[in-house]
Amino acid sequence: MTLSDIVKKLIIRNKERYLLFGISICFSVSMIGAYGALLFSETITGVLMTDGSTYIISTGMYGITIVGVLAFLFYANGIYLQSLRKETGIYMSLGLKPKVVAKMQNRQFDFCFLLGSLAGILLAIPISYMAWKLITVFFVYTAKVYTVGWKGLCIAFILAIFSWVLLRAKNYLDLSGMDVITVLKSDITGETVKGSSPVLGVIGLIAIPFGIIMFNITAVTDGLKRISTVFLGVSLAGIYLVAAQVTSVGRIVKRISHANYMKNLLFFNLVRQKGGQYTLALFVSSILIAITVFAICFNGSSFLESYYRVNEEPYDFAVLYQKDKKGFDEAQVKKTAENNGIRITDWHTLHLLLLGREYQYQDSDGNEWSSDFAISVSEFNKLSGENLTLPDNGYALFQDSEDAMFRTCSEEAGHFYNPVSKEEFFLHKEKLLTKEDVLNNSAQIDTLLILSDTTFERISETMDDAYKFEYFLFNGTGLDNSAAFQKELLDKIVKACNGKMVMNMDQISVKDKLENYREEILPYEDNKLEAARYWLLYPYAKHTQSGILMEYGAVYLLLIFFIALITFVSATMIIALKVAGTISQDIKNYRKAVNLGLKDKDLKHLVRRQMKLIFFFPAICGCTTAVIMINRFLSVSSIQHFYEVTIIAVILSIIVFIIQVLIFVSIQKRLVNSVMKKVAING
Amino acid sequence: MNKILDVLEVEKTYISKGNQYPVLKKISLSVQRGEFVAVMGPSGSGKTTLLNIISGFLSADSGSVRIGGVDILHADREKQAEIRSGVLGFVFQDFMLIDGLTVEENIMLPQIIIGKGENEIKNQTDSLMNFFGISEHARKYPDELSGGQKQRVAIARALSNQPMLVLADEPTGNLDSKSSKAVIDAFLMAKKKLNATILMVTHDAIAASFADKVIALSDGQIVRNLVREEEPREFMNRILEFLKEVEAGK
Repeated sequence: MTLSDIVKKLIIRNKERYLLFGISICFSVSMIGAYGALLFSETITGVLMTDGSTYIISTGMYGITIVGVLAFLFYANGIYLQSLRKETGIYMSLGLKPKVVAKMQNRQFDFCFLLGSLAGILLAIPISYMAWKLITVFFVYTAKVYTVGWKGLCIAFILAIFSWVLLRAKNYLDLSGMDVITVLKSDITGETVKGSSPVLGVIGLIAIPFGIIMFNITAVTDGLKRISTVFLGVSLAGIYLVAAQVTSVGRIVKRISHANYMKNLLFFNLVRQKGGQYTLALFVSSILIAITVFAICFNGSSFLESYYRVNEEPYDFAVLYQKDKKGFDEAQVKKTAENNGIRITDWHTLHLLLLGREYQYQDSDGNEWSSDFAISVSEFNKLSGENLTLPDNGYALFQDSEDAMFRTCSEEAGHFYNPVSKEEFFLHKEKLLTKEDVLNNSAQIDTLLILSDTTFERISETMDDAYKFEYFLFNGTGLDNSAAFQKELLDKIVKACNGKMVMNMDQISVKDKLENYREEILPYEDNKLEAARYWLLYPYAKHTQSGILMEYGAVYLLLIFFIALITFVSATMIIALKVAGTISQDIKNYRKAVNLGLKDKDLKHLVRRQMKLIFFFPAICGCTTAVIMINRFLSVSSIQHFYEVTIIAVILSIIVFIIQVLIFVSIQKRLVNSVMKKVAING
Repeated sequence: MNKILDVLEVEKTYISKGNQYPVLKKISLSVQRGEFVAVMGPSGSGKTTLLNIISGFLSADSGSVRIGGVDILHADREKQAEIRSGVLGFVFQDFMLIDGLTVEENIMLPQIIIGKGENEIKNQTDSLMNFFGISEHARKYPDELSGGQKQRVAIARALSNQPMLVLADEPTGNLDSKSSKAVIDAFLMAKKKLNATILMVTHDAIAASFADKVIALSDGQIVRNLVREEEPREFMNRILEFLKEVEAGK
């Protein structure tokens, strides 16, 4: 028999030891691989558009998750290393050289890590496929062909190799420099408890909501915005303090009820003995659970908001008609509605001109040319019920919003461009107007440039049909046929456009002003979702709009769910590792307690209480923090339905808690039986 | 008899929060080949620290520890490992057997470490298992053994490389009286038949009463050297008397 044989034998014999570590590695690699395989899949990038903000957020969260997973792997490795300490100490006491010991232990590590990583990579594709099948339930416009984003698998592979090399080097240094005394004593001595203070725990409890509320206040107070993030730090420190001081819970109970403290003396003292051992596990898992709930609710809130917004729109339909597209006009729309059993009850036709406007910012370096739809003041008044009057050399800007910022109108004189006459002209800014429910702001147009009737007519005469539009806003009855009506309209519009969509139509009036202007034309057939989301001529129907949002949102939310799943499972695994570590550390104490007369029933109760503390502290702390964060964060955002999102956060927190209860129930029996068995063995 | 262990004026002070706590104050002692020496003393007297310094697990502030003429305190980590594998054998209170290896493999392990041949390892292991009456458990794993059996395996493992000196840290600390007796018998057999030299740190006056010599420590100093000239039972009475005196002196 050689040392190599011994290593092989130990790998086989200690497979349970490697199981949790191996699962941690497999989980980390598979999740990063599966998420990446989806994120970089051609179909997903088709939905999320690689330069879109949601794609950037998803990619950013992927990056943060990779860092989080790396931290989780470090934590799992720390627990794994702890399980090797006794063996390492024995080897060293028997005279095996530290470097040889480190090499031996690293061979076991290699086996476990590489096997876990391989399984992770292999599982990544089926996991991403299952996630894909789930998303496609929401797909109407997107192709349902599953494609693997190989870049994501490469990232998972690189993560596995990187963390393997890093942890291997760390373990080698740790093991070869390990102090034998510390190693041999590690499983028999508890940590000396120094400086535990219930007062700090109470301060932490106060700091969590205080920090979030102060963030909420300072984030909207001019002059204090810069320090608002400091208060997030205060909340974070609060969670840390609570996690660090949870071991001194007995001292608080002692002050409140001495009898209760005495009744649970053993429990409180076993907890107290752990000192700082709990801090990192409870802190990290609390943060991860808070991120889980927060990520889902925060990212889901914008879709919920959109859903509400669509339902509150004033018109059932909105159709934009470009006058150079022959064969499609107001009469066609009305006829199509009639064909589909929709009786029009309220109709508005807006005549619009697409003009170039220089968007002027407070910092003039950022000024840029873009387009606005212009309308005559009389038509606007008729639509909005306003009584606006404008001089011929003036203009007003309208936005269908309650809190429009108008950051692009800092100058008194508006600078405009007529793309047909190639003429630049200035109009005096008369008014910035905001009002809700004038237009459907989830449809193509939510901003209008208002001109006097004379000015509008004068400019209109100089422009050709490519820059002239009619915008039909109408309500109707028989809306169950909305989808069919919309489809028929769309077919007619696509036909009028010869099957081609100009995706940057909003730039056509300033093409002379843009250095790198290039007409972006896409065939409709291959780009149906992109058409539904971005094409100006796409007919809008309130009843189908939420479906389009869901299709887009489902992909984004699924990616966020993925992240949440990774953080939640990481938190649960950290908790499970800590529970297992704590219970095995206390075996000697349980044995002593049994020798002193502790009944089996009471021992089981004691073990369960310790487990409950570690299991439910992060769930309660993390979920409570997330709910307060969601409520406070959204109250300073543009989200108006933050009460509803808060309710969702509460429901989600309850689900997280129930999942924790189920996991607790499923493992507690096994763990308690294992403790009873170990305690019963005569030492 | 020749000198196996020579501890000379060893000092050790722990420093905590700026306060100094001297644990060993110029300790000197020696152990001859084939001797069975027990180190006793109340908690905090420094006996475990002394054992850890002799093992090279802990450094001393001053003094020297020579085992077979080699100064373990001033050797580097690699050299200390060599000394431990070839010259020392260890028996711990918690047995410190490797759970994933059988009884036989645990005893083989120190021999594998120093690179003995396969046959030599097999013969020596069989011989030790026979000697300590654990052959029938050869294929069992530590968690299938009683405490006394585990400690006998640990002693067999400690003796597997025929070390100059066996260091035992509270070897009966976790055992009932029957198992403790079996462990002490194992030490006595090893001393008698294998001429093993044993230095044992213990709280257990019964276990110490079987030693040839008891070195009594108190407050980091050797306060008495009790040499056994009588039967263990009478020697134990002398040890207990001494312990009472130490308690009274405190």
